[in-house]
Amino acid sequence: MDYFFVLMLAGMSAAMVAGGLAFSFLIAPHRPGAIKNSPYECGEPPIGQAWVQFNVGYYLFGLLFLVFDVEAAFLYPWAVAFHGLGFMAFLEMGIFLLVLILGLAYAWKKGALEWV
Amino acid sequence: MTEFLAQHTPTLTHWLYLSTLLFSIGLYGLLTRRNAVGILMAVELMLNSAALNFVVFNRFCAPATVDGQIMAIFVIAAAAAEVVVGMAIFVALYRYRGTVDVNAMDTMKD
Amino acid sequence: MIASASYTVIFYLLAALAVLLSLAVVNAWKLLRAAIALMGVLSMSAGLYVMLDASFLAGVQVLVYVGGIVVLIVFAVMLTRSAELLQDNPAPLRKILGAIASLAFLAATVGVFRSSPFLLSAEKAPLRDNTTLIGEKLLDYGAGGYVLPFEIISLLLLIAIIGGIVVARKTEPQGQPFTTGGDEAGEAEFRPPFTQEEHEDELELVEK
Repeated sequence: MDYFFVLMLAGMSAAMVAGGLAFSFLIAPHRPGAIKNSPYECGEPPIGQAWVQFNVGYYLFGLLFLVFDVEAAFLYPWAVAFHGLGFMAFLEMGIFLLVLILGLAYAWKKGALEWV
Repeated sequence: MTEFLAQHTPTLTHWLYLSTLLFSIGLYGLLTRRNAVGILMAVELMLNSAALNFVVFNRFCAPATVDGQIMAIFVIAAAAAEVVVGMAIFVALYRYRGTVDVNAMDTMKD
Repeated sequence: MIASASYTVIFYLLAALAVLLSLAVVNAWKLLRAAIALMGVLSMSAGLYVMLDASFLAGVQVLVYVGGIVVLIVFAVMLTRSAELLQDNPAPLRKILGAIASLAFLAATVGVFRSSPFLLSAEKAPLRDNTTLIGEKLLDYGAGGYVLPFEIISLLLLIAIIGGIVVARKTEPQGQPFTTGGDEAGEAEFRPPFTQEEHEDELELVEK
């Protein structure tokens, strides 16, 4: 079976992570203290909470990434079947891409691609 | 042992049990969560089990075609669009109201 | 013999993991943990797609769902500080009612599919490449082709881009990122990040 090695890889990587965690849990000493539990900020005492408000710019980039991720998922079968398909398929994919490029142009014009 | 397992490969009914169970768990999350993001995660579970159902029927009822798989790809694309707009609404709501608790979103009630 | 035995074992393993992780998705108090569990459920589904001879779909599942949608959900959890502000532990009554409703749904659906006959086909999956078949069917404009839904998906994605940007951007306080290059001609010029007054207004709004 082709996927046997994928399964083996998944199993082995899971076993390595679980093994490392279990090993350190078993042999490491547990003496937590207030200073040891504080978040590490280059040796400085931490300022404020570890949870900070993230910039909404991350979200806009994530949004564009997701949409073009879906586009890539649709491009792939078209590229694989390209030789068996006629000119119409090329035209259809052209329309598909054109509509999404409109979206990219909108995002660009609105400045969603700029990082300030 | 090997013979027993080889004779009990999952049939259509077993796959349907799995997808129905996942859908019910998603429904439970949809009904009990108060956080809007948590509700959306439950909806994702339900969409995923629906896509699984499409692929299961494709495999067991018409294995020579790929219609069910194409429907599943459309489900995934629709889920992506839904998440993009839904999350944008939650981020905006958090900006205006400072909360994503759906019980607090009752402005249209009055 | 060994192949079908391992097929059974892997199916039950993946199914059990998917069910346990989805219970974690709906029950976890901390939303980040729920998001990681959701990632697990979706990866298990990718494994199940491989078992159903849909390897291209498994790839799409990992690419879009695990790699894109879950990442966006994690961003939204961070942006709304959901994990910190709202420990999601619903009231017992709500839990019981939700459990009753979903169990009723489960019972009804199981009853329906146990009592209905399915036209099972004993055919084997096609020997040709799964991805090529999907590509041909997706762009087929004849009968049984999916070219119209395919083009509509592109429109849906365009609407999602525009809607997402409009909704997420409008709420930015002035002078924060992404207000440059807006609709008005003068909006593109530089502004100081925000005045102290604006900042206090924002804080009041958040407290409300």
